[in-house]
Amino acid sequence: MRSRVRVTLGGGIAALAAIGTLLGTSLSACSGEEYLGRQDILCPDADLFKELVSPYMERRCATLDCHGAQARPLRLYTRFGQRHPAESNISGGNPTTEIELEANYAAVCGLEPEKMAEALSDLGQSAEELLLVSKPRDIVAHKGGAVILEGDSADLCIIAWIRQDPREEIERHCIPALEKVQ
Amino acid sequence: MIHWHPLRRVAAVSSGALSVGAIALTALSPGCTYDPVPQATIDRLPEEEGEPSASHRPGEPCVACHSAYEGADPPLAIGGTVYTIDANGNLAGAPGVLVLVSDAEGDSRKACTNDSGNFFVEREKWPDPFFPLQVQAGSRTMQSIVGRDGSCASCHTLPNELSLDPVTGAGRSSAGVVLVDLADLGQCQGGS
Repeated sequence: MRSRVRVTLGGGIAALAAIGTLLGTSLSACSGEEYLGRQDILCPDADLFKELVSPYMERRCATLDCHGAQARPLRLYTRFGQRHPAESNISGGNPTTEIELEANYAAVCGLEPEKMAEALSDLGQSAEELLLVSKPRDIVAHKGGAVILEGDSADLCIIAWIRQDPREEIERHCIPALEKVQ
Repeated sequence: MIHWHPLRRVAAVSSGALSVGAIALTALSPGCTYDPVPQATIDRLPEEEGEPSASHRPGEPCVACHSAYEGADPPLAIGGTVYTIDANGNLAGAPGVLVLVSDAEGDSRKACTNDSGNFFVEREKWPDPFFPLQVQAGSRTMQSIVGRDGSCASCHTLPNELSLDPVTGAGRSSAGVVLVDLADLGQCQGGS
């Protein structure tokens, strides 16, 4: 099942426009009219992500020295790392909350929203082009190196979710992937 | 024999003009190694108190300076500080705690905390640990893995203005200091 997640697009253009205004220069091409606001984008199933994919990513990717660091793109929240600013939990404390799972889902879906929608429409044929897959494989340079190998359980966990495989198939990959990092 | 050097900071850049100049110089000078990410960490550190030693700067991110970037000697693969809560309810460095660090390929190193609670594994004794790492300090096992930072204090910060637990320093972006039980103290000797 596909889900819709609401993310903010075009913020960079808006920021450029603001800088231009401050500088007193004319940036007619970046007037702010191109700011796209909050958009609904297509993304694979939210519940399956929260239940099966996020727990793996929380353990392997979301440590405080990686995607649990505020300065790092693809910010992820988890009990074991960064906690959501709207709540008052501490790292290592209460279990990952619904707000944090929603934020993780939005982060993953909003990483490359158009490409993610394309991967959905072609049933995962283009999934390997997503940064979500190519970065952890270190095909596209990844600060943390190759943390996932092509074809291993973690790789297949993420791809099965993007491919919208049946729940049992996603479980078959995600559970062993999680067990390896617990 | 270990030689400890004080911090050798590269010139801090504070103005826009200087920034542009620094960027230009960096591009033109192959020997220049200014890197804003580790440098920002180093610049946030407080001034040295006393002489540098194996017991210095407890609770600070060791590998920020003991690295190829900053060049403090000895280069470290892993470094951190272990604490306990003393009889007055305050944080105190935990000496003689055995720390076991295991990497993803099953390789491991042991270290023992010194009088300030500091422990470390020198880079020459573990040139290339395969991340992620798992850590045990005394009887406490770390809940999460270490993704890529050899400085424990990058995540296990001392109490500060962002802490939700004023004693341990735990907060939204910190697990607080590494705490062990009193029974874990004195289990090994000789520092790292």
